[in-house]
Amino acid sequence: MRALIRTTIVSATVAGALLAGAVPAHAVDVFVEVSPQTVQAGFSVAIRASCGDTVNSANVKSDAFGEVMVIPQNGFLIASVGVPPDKRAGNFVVRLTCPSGRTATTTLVVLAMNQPTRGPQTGGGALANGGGDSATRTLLIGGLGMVGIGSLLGAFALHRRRTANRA
Amino acid sequence: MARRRTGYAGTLAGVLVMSGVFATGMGLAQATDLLPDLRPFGFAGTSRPPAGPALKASRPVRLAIPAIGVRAPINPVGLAADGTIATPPLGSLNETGWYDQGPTPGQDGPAIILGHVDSKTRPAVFAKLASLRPGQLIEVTRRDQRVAVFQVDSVEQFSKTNLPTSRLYGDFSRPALRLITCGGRWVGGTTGYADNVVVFATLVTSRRA
Repeated sequence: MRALIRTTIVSATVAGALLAGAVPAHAVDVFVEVSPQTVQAGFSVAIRASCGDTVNSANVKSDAFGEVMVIPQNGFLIASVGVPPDKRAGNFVVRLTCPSGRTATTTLVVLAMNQPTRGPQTGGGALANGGGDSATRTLLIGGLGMVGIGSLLGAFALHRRRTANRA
Repeated sequence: MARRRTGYAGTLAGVLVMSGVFATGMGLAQATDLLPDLRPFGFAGTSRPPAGPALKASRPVRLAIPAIGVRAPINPVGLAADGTIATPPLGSLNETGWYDQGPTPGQDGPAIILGHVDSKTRPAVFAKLASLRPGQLIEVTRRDQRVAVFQVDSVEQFSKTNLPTSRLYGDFSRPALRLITCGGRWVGGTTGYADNVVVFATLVTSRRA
């Protein structure tokens, strides 16, 4: 009997925890959020919001992208909206206005960064080829030198042999 | 007796010629970049950890990469006259530059930090950048006294004339970091090194400094 009680209590606790976890933390709040929170001009952002109830659409407004309706889906009000490519960089307020008149805000950071296709100049040359510029030169000059000396020596040896044979 | 001496001379001549041909070949191969680059690059598409939560904007001030012994100040840089991202003065060997048109490290999107691989005479702050490996950590201390901790996803090398711009600048789905320096063959002139070495990293966590 005691075991049964304990099991029941444990089950109830677990169920409670699960229920608490299943309810979105924002469920009763009025809020708006954007993802990503920072974006390059020309990209789009996702908006997620709530007006406390999830039945009615609401309005979201920002100088970054204008005005957009957020529509109920999966317990939230959502929308996706593009930031115009010519938008100036800055921090923009994003304001949710619910049918009830309640409002919430968040901030969207818009960047307008130049994206050079040419890479930056980040070296002076000291480590070129791991010091290999001089190694390469040594190999080339040394190698050619060895070929030269070897050939001369070979020619000399052949000449000596021929003279010795004749004698 | 004479016969024996010519024998030694002949052998020596043969060895010299053969070594010479070999050395010349090696030298030519290095000079023309025909030898495969033996440094291990190309960890593309390896571990991408789930990103940590994005931080608010705050300028980066200090960079630490324990794996390669980097501890360096970070100063903002903009664009150079030729349209490339500007770099710290070539004389400041231990200074890095944060591209101030992009996000700050910890914000959503790719924060970009550059450093020199060397000066004309000495190795510089990012001399060992190419030896970083996926999984190793990069710490950026910001003005708001938070340390953004990034984990290396990949270390890659691209031709300086044709950077993969969407991979470098285009991913705003997560807070990320790009460390850029020079690499590859030295061509000199206005180009310097032919390539850029890029470390791709993702924010994994942050803590108070």
